[in-house]
Amino acid sequence: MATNSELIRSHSLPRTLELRVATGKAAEALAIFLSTNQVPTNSTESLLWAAGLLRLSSDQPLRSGRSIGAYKRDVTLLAAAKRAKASDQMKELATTLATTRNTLEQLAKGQSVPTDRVQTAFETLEAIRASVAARRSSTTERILRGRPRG
Amino acid sequence: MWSAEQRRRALAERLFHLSATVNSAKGAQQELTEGLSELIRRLDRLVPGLITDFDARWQRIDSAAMPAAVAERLKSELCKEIEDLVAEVGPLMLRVVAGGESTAVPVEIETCLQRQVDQAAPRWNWTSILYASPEYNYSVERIPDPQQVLGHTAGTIPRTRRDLVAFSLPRPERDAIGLHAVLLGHEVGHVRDWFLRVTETHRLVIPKGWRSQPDRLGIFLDWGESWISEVVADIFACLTMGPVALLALPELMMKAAELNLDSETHPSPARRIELMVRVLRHRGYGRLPTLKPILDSYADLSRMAWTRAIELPDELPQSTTLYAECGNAVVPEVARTLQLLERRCRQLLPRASLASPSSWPDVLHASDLLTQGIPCGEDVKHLPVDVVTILNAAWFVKVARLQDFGPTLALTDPNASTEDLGTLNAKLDLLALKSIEISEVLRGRV
Repeated sequence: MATNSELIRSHSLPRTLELRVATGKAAEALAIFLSTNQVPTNSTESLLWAAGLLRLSSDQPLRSGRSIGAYKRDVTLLAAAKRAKASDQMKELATTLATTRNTLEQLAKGQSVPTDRVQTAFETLEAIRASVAARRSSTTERILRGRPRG
Repeated sequence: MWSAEQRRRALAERLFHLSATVNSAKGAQQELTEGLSELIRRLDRLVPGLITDFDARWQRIDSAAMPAAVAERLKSELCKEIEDLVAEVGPLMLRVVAGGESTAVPVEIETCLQRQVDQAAPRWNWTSILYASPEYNYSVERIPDPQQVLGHTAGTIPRTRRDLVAFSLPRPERDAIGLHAVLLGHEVGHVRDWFLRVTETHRLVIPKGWRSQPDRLGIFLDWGESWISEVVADIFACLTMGPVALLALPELMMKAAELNLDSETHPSPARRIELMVRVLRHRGYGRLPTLKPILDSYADLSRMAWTRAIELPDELPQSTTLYAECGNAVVPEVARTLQLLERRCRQLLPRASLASPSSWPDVLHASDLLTQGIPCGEDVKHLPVDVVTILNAAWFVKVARLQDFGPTLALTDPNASTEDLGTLNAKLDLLALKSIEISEVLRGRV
């Protein structure tokens, strides 16, 4: 169960917005790493922030009997991961997220990570970032309401 | 060419204008409430914070040895991210600033709104801000903290700082104090729900086969969550405010929505009325002779509402199979859980926050005073009368005793003209507002 302060936090900032900023900062750090082979200074917090947000609520995220809160958190992430992986297999998508999370955490701790794993993590973050980006209609036209995701 | 550099230039312009708007609002701070002043201080920190963060990231990309195309793409993405942030957070904050001046809102209810928020979410230490919106509805929104937006505090929030929660009311109905029962009942009900986690921990039964389809499941969950949160807020409104929660809501809804029309975010007014009648009857209000006919008539209006199929406005893509399927899966799922939700809300609500039919004689006494043109904010022992009693009394006069109030204003036949009827209601609203003001002053002394 989440602590009280975590709840307040989740209630204070739209989750997709938080995910957008966190994955954006982390993706940027990975892109720089892929070019320079060095983790940029001051990016530890960003990497850990993104890693924390990629954590699914359990190993079997969409099993029956879960609460709305747990489902929604996982569905946002899995739908985003699906964009990167083009897979319908929930287990595979969950693994992709877990691997990305590990990569971010290892880099944040200064541990060595193979470049191909960083490249995969970067692509996953880019896909998540794109999938939670705001889709705004032109304000010069009548806006038909679309559903915000997440 | 729409390059990263051009995006940056456009973004700089947006941030400059946002900053200028904040500066202009700061000039009027003497008329602002405590919450609004805090919001402006936060906005004032947001723009410089965004610029500093943006510049540092831009610089970092620029100074890294990477292919020009990669750098260009990263910088474009950075601009887009900040544009999204400004688009997401800016309008809400500016809307609150624009509508929050003391002349635009009934300041008499601000202290009692804050007290209700404190009771609804004890320990959360939230500051409420009341603002007037041009839209014909009420709303409650949490205002993101700039520091969180920028990601500088990825851990926990220091509990010493007060978070902000903004309540809107319809600008044209500034003095319609009776309608503001929706604010104190339903909207504060959402705050109770966030604090008590009724919606968040509720278990929806997912239709068979949907669990493996994140997109379809996402729509179903969004929709289901929104409907559950609305019915929970309605239940809390009935439990804490009593009959006035039911009486005020349909009146507001009739102005803004058709009786049987659903939306992705809200069940139709008819479904909500049926639920509220049910909750009030369970609380025993249906046994009160003065209330029974009123509740019965609302029950007739909304009979069998939860058995109807989904009915959506034209602009929604209801024609698509996906939306129709999701909506029609949500209706029975929410209907199935209404009793459970009612029981859960009742169990979680502190006894002191429950409105009770045993207090109805106080409401009738207060309504006697109102019909005589006397404010009802002080009881016979010179103690403050609570806002729930005042609002219920004002509504009871409106729906059942307006003919008694008419002669007080030398209007012997309140049905003589629509104009007279409007005047009567407006006078009654002002009398209720004065009653609340008196009650708050007395409460301050106590």
